[in-house]
Amino acid sequence: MPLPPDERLRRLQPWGVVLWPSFIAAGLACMVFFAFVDPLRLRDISFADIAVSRGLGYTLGFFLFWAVTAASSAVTWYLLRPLAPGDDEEPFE
Amino acid sequence: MSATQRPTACAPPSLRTVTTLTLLLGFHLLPWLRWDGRQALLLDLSARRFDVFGLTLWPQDIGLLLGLLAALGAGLALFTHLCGRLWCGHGCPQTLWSTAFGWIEQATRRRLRWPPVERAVRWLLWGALSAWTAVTFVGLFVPVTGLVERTATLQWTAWEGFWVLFYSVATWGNAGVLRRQVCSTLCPFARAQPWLTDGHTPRVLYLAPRGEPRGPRPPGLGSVARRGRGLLDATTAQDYVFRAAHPALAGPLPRFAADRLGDCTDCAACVRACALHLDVRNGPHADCVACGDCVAACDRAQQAAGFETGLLRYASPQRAVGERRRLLRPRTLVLLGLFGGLLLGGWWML
Repeated sequence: MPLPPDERLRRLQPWGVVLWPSFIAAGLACMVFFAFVDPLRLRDISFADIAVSRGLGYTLGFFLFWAVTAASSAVTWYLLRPLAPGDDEEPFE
Repeated sequence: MSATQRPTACAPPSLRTVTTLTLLLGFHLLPWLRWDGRQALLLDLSARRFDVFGLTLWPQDIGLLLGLLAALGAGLALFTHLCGRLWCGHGCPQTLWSTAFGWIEQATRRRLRWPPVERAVRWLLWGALSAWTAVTFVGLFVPVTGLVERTATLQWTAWEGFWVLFYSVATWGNAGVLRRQVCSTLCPFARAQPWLTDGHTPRVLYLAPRGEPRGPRPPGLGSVARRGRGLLDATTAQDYVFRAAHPALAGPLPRFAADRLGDCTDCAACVRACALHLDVRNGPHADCVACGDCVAACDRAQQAAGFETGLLRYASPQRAVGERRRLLRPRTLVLLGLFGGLLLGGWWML
């Protein structure tokens, strides 16, 4: 059934706008990064005592990238929001 | 009217139904294809080795892989420039899974009258489809036979389990909750349409000179062609379209004698068939993904009224006003150059 552009979707949109492009960017960054760096080698020079498999290494790496790209997208979204009315008219004292 | 609203259970499946089923089936078979005794498409992350239909890529081939992705993107842009948004309406995973989720919803709504039971069954089926999709997708990154064996005994490794769950939730969210909103508000490719398409690119087109002025009429009157009214000139037709689209600006439409009406009976079958309830008669719409559901609905309604089909059609606006077909336009050359250049680069790297 079609979903009208109601309030629920309007509230969901910023989440989509922040999470989705950052997901793609993180995927690309992850692909390029791990093409040059083997997660097992990375573990050996960082947390050598912790048993990290390649799968877990890729997963952690991806979410690290996603956290960074999503943070950037979120700040962009925040700065693009219109100022609340009156915010720029407060008198200086 | 009743003929257009009746569910078309007995009608042969539409082209879109067939392509949707074929592509969904193709995706679910993809990890099972074999090539020289190996999984044909396996992006094996643990082994750091990608198998792509006989081509083996190692980590140092990342440039080739990125080039391949860019070539696919350029190819899609070229295809869209030449053929319109057929990918959006017929091939994009977002559309395919939204359609499948919609089919499940229609089926449960039709068969189960009690809402709590309907919702429970629908969620169960949606969950099963999401999970199966996620297992298949993860099966492109770990050898699928082992993954499915471990699925049967629920012995996934932690990160397999995590990604299956992640993609199940993503599938449900995109296809079950957001649906076409993804195309309207989240998809960058949809936003790029004005740069990719021009007047020669086909899109869903309403033949206003034949359809206008629209309006209901008693049955039995023939089409404009049969009763000799013929086509309006483009300016007059566009004026009627504007008046119908903007009644607040243009005031109510004048009343027309039944024999002066065009072939559009204003039955709104096209608007009802559209997942976003767009009215394509009022001009091109940025949210239209050219799925063709309105075209099929209009053809059925026109046939029921005894008129010829094709009042809504998938065509190039320039061709519709009688211009000669031009295959090579400036944008075609740019996109062709980009696509060809990337392919040649990849060929050279191989």
